[in-house]
Amino acid sequence: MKGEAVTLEEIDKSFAKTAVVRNVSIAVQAGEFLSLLGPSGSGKTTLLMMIAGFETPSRGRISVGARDITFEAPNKRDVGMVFQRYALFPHMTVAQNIAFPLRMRRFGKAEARDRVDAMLATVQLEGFANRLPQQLSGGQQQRVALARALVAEPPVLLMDEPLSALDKKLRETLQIEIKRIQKRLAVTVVYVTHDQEEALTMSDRIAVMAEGELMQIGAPADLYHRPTNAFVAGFIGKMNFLDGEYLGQDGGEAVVRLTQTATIKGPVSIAPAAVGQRLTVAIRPEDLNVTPREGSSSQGLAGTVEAALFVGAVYIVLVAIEERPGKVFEARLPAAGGAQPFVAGDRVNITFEPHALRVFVNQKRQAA
Amino acid sequence: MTTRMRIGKFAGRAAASMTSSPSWRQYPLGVSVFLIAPLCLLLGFGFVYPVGRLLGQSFFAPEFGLDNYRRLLETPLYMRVLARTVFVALVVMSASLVLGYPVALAMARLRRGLSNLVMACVLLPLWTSALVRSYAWIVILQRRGLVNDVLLASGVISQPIKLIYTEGAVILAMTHVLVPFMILPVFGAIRAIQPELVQAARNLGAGKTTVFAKVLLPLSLPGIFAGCLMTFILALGFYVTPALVGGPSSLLMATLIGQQTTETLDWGFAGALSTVLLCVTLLIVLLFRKALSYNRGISNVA
Repeated sequence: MKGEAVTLEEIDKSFAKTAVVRNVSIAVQAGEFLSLLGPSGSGKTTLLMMIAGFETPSRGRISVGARDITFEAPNKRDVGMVFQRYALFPHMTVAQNIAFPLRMRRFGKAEARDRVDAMLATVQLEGFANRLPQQLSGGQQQRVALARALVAEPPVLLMDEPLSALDKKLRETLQIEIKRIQKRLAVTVVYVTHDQEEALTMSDRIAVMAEGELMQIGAPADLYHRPTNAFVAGFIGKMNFLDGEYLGQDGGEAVVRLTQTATIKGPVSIAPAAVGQRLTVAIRPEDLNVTPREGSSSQGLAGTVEAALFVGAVYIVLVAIEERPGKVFEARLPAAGGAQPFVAGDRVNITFEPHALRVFVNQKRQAA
Repeated sequence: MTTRMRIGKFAGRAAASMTSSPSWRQYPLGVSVFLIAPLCLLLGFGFVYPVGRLLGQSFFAPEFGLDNYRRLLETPLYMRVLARTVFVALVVMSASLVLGYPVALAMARLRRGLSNLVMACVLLPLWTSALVRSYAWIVILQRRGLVNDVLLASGVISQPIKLIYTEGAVILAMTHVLVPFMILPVFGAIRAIQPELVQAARNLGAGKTTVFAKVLLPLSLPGIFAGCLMTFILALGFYVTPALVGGPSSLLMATLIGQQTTETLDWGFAGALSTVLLCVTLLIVLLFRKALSYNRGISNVA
């Protein structure tokens, strides 16, 4: 089996005049693991349903390899699918479930049995062939569903939040297992999830969706370090946001005012066109430095520690920004030495390297 | 998890599941007895006693012995009526299944609003008396009724044909009355099927017919069994409709029993007829249960 490319071209989808997917184009490469990531209502599941053939796009084209499947019947697409609630046939045994797609393709009995056995071994359920689905745990059921989706060796596998019904520990085990099987079979995977951690761990690339639009597509590290809009910045990983105002240029650097007393300078490439424009400044918790503030020596942003939490490798320090009532920054400091760095009520300065900042002009659709 | 399980419990392990359920033990014995006493009294005086007496009379009236049963078994007419009753009930059950299943399937797949509308159409006749519905069939099927008028006017026939007071009329009218009892359990069973199962089957390469044959039909079997059992048993004992739209040539057991009690006043023989009908009904319930457990057995091991 070899994975095939999946191409979505300018896909629109409306239900009763409500647009749920707007002008989405994604080229999934052969053998790639691509996640569609977004909050509920972002259109990611609708997109998957259109690839599977359970919905038809209002506009646009979907192809697998060189085949145009936009209007192909679901049973003719040769695209495997794993459902959120497993969707195993309750009246068939595990082996019958896995053999189902082979029966549909009129495989011989002997070959079907060999393939089912091989798949059972792949998902590590050798002894379970004659059990009924309801006699299996959730994780085992999802493995059967995975085996069933892959046994006919489809070039593409679609997964619709397959792990969201499982508990955290099992989810992590299965994430690794799915990844291992995907690598071994070289199948192209389109994986829908709302869990950004899951997307970051598993994907070659992530397509972030919001309100039916594709916000950004890229490798996990790309999205984390180089988000192109405030939504992606806030949705992938933890991010601190602050409103600012663009003041113009000074010596080849862009000047942005954050508060009455604090301005920052950064690379000019981040600057918007018009002086006086409102913008959003974003910075990761791990890029913040927190230093004690003595007297009136102000540097960076002045704040007061609300809480300092020890979470193993790092301390999370929550700092209320004094000039922005209600605004709390989260900083992650290395927990080296083990001494409690701050206690609630400490007066501190927050500083950061200008190049760690991201500046976005478009403030709409900012994730919390 | 599905209707299969529930019906399985009813059919197979009713006693076990009741004693093991915690709510069974939530009330003290005295309170439980007090709460079920009214129903027990009502059933005892209103049902068990008169039916028991009627059945008992079959052995004692006019004198002690099996004369009533001998007469029933030795008179070909009565055996024919019994055979006809079972036959008509089978036909009504099959017709209800054939007519009702597509309706149930459509109801389960329609949007909620439309589905409720169809449900209302199915239930509305249930709220109308069977008497009224039977008379409606008389209006339609009689010598100068709707059907004959249309056929005569269009020149298909030159003489009115006999439609009413035939076995066909009985089957037609009884199916009309009983089809909701098929639709409702089948609808329940189909609606309990996860929609993703259909999608999964399609995704795995099944066409629409195959999805029906391999997924929808097997998973709706519990509903089909329940519906068949219900329509069949109701049809076996149906009185009003056969009495009104049937004729002497389509006499059924219930009508015969009615005649014996109200016209010939032969209570002993009426009791014998009732006993036989009851036994046939029980036998068929047992057969259904066997079939159901056989069906469950297949899905468990094969």
